[in-house]
Amino acid sequence: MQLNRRHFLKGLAASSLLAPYSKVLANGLPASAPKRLAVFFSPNGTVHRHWRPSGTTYQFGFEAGSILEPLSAIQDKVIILDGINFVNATNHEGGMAAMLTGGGAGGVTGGKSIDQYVATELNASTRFRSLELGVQTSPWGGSTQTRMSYASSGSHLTPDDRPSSVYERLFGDLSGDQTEVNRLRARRLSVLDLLRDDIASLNRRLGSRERHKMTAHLESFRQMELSLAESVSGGCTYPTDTGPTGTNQNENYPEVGNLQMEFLISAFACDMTRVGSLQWSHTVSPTVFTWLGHGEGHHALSHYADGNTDGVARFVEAERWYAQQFVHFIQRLDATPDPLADGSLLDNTIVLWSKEMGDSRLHDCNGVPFVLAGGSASPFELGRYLQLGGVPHNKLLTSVCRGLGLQNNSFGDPNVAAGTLPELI
Amino acid sequence: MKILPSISLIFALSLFFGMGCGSHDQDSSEPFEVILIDTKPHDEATAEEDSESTDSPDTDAQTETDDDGTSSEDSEDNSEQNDITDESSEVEAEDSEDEAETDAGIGHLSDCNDDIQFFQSELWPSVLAPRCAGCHQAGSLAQDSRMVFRIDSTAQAETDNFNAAWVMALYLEEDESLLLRKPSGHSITPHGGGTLVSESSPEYQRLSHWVQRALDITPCSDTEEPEGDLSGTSDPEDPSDENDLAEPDPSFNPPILSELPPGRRLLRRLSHSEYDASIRVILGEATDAVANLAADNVVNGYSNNADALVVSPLLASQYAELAEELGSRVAYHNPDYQTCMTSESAAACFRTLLVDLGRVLFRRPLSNEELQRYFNLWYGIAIEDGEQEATRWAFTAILQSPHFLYRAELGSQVDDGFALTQYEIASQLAFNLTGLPPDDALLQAAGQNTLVSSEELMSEAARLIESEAGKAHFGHFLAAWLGLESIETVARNTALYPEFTPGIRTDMLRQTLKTGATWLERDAAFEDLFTSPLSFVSDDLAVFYGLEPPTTDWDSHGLREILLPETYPAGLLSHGSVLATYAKASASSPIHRGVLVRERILCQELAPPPPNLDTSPPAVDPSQSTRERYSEHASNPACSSCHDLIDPIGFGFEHYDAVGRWRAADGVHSIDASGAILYSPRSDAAFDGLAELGSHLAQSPDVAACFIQQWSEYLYGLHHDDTLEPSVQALKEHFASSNKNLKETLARFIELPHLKVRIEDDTVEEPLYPTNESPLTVLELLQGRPDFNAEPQDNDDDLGNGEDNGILTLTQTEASRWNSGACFDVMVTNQSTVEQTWRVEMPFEGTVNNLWNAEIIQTQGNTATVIGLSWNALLAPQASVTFGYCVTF
Repeated sequence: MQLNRRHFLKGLAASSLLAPYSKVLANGLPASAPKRLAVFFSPNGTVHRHWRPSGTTYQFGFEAGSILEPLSAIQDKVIILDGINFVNATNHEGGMAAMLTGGGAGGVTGGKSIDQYVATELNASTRFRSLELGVQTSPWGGSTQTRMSYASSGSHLTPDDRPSSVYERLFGDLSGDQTEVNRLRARRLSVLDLLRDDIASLNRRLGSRERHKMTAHLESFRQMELSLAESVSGGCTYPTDTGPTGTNQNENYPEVGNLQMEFLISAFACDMTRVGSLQWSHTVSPTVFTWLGHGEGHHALSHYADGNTDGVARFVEAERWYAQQFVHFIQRLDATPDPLADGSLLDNTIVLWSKEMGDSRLHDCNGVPFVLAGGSASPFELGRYLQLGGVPHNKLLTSVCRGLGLQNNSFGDPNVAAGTLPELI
Repeated sequence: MKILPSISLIFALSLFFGMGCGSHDQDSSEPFEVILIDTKPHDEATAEEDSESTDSPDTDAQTETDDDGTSSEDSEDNSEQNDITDESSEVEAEDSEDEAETDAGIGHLSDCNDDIQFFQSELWPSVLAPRCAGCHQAGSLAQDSRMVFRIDSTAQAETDNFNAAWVMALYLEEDESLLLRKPSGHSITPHGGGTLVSESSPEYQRLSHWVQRALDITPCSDTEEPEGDLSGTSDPEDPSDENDLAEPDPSFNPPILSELPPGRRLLRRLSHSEYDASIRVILGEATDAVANLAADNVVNGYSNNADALVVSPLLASQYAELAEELGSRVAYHNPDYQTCMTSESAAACFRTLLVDLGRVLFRRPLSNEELQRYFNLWYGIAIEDGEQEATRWAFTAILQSPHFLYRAELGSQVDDGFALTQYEIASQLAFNLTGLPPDDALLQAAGQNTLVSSEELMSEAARLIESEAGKAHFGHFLAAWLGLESIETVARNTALYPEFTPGIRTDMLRQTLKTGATWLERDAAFEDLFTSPLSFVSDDLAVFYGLEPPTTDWDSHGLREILLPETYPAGLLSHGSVLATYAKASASSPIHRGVLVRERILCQELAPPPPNLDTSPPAVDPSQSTRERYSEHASNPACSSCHDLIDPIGFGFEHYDAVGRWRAADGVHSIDASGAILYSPRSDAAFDGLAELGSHLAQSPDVAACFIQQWSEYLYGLHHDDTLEPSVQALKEHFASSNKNLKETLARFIELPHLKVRIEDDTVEEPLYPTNESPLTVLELLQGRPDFNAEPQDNDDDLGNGEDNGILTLTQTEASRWNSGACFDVMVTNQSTVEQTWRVEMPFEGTVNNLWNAEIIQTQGNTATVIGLSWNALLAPQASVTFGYCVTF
């Protein structure tokens, strides 16, 4: 479906109720191009010898059948980062917790994951400060193993695994008669007003230990209000298909993932958010790649030793599939016009493909495979293969922040490492 | 007296500890001090001889060469499994002199009976044996570390183990015992086995208690009771009788439940299933909407943890979306409301609905402040959109109110704590015992203050336990305890198991739920969970299991009662839900099943495999049986230290395939289902097959204690909460000495003060709960609106698209007043867009002795219903009529 920009803006302008809240994009494009971050996660480490490109920084290639070979289609838009370690973190759970936070509660980022830190610092006037989308991240419930985004130290965020829910949040109240849309928003705002009074009265009865629950609830209201008040950029398109009903059924994994990628791209294209993440399953992922003819779970495959060539080959197949999804995501971003600037979404987006461990058989977090991607306005020099020899990933996270125009000089635990990766920025 | 810190030697050993296996990161780490406070005057060499026994090259070699199965295969479905680890970082070997002395048969290093008892009853069986001894024994990974245990069951072994743990407690690093720092992951040289215990765990508390004893911080005293159970009855004169660790002391009396300290004040967000149950009450029908809410955080397998349940932006917006839909169903489909609207004013109907459903949703009557708040919202919207839309939005708001979404266990301040309100007690009883909000009977009892005495509470509890919901709740506990709900989604190879359909998966879960409910109903005891053949199967499931479908009556889900044959002998353990949840996509899994028993049934949490240990699983060799493929685990010490805890239990399940069906053979291989429980002194046993395993588990004091631990976590929605821990410990003790009847056990939870009283360690701005008040009338609500006085003049142009709203406003002014009477003028305004016949309910003070321009048609108490006369009964839109009256007092 295409969102009719003129129609929508007219509708907003006609609403006196919303006037104080709505920031209509009436004057065309903002002065500077927008900055966006997308995090793409896939689980269970890697097998380095099937992951590493061959060659040197500028002259590199992917061996036939290797995990990253699909990336040859977008080689000039990526940086392959080899030799990045998580310091003071090991294993599935430790890796998952440290991956986007840099570990530790200290430092300027205060335990936030990079998506949440960037979203807070950019503080863009968009309907959603950030979007966390997932693909079968929650059949085991929420825990350190199954979550990667942190709003603060120890407080992880739940990704939305359901395309239909994503659709409803993003576009559900944008279709239909404009007067009705505005009326709906006014009603929702007056409900939120009342609920604040209820929360205040309950809050007065709490001791400090329980009060954080009301604080979090109020913050949720604030973000809902934002999503009701902020305008969106028109002219964007979005899927109306909300996918299969069995969101958590193994065989629906590819379809759900594809839809979530489309929704994330639409959210960027409609300027509903500047920061988004897509989390495929979670560490210790049990996904069975039945569509590749597999009969064993991804985590089981990830543990086969090199001598088990058949088992490793199936793991590589699964990893290649994730690489193909990544390529698809990059190509779709590249094919979608930026609503706020010349060029494509990809041009003004830093994409970080992240994993939680290095060698999956060893349960360690050394040589964790990362890939950065971007387009013409990328702050990083693309089309390179960087062999970094074991640098703390805190520097990578700091570099990404700098690339987005932030000024922090460390990410996560500042005692581990400060500064950026000079190879990047 | 204690032999102790005789501190003959305090030596600072500057040691360069090696790196963790395979890790080369710490080559440059600073030297640090280990201070050993030695206990034995003549022991000079305790930690000096660095044997450098294992080092990273070994481990590296191992990880590279053992391609086909050094170790663990991690669970796919239930977090990590393990492999304990290599203590190769430990540099020193156990002192040889120690060994010599030990062999010669020295006694305990402490002659304090408290210490010995604590070791026997708490430290060894609950911590050291299951968590440490696997690696820390001769021939295993940590055989060269400073702490090595013996696992034979001789008197001397116990003494040696006591001494090994005692000495270890005295190794200090930065003034803290290594016995605490190592397993909690805080040591400068990482524990080779990784982080095994968190600081909040009972295991850590036991270790900490032990260290305090060793350092003489906790003095020896005959009257002192260390935390927890001291039921071990070692004869102080004869330290050799260590074999009766588990024997309860007949003279030991568990604490009196009603005298235990209560837990803390809580505000607990409804779990999704509690939310769903609440919605069902007001809609009168089920909704599956809740299935679409973002998944909740899970703590120790339970999704009702009070500390973990919070509202995120995603959940808040999903609540909002759901509330709009549900609000609409209330406003347009609530039968009482629809009926009311045909006879009463819209405002009165809304008020009635608000009072009635509000009491259900808030689990207490709304305060007048709240009534007014929701009425104001309703009124504002009614003017614009009509009263049904207004009702919809008012309920949309109520369904997002924190008073609905959170269960308060806060109470009002009393002398030295907070006494929960009657309604809070009613909620707790209902949710804890049935998973549902309080029903009308409970709310009425709360309103009448009859949830006070223990007889009253017990009788309500008994009613709830016996109810359908109460029985079903026990089935749900079993499913949550063993993590069975994932049976619906676990990935299974459909090519191998085409018969394992979604219907079969659901029937398996229902089998467990129904069997659990029935056990509670029929007064079963704890042992039945592992031994009872009673079960319920659908006809499809019976056929799937290879059984003749029973001929008993169907229940509403098509299940029929059956006594399972000897191929399915072990209560819960032989339910398909258990067997299929704990299996691999294409094969059975002794590991998944062994871990289930170890972690969930014995409550012995296993650590994740240490980093850098190659955990490649056994290669699939078709010439070997499943059991044979895992044999590497037993022969390779890197694996066996942990897998000895797991595999020998899991092998007992080998007669069941990946989808829970009994099989006579594993492919072409015959099945050896013999197994053993190891390193759990009170539960150790060899067994053959599931029936024997079930019998052993049913008799194990560890399993009994674990069951209470798990049930407490489920009932209280808290995980190892400090303030509640004494209560849980006491419940375990009571359970251990009881007949283990399930219903009686459940009733014991009701005796704890936690149900009625709470503590708070902070000051509270509003420590008192508002007192009960009679709810505001419609007139009072109308008059209580903030813009009430401005109303008649406020002819807003925005008004007017409601089709049929019945809004009337009243303005009353006092015309005159004297000692014994007064006269008033009342203006009635039709705020709606349609002409209507007016009718108002209003309170009078005194007796009406004069009334003009209107008539009273009904009086109830001091409230009268007033209507117009023939000439002013019909009121045009936006028009007003005035009447007057006088009263005498």
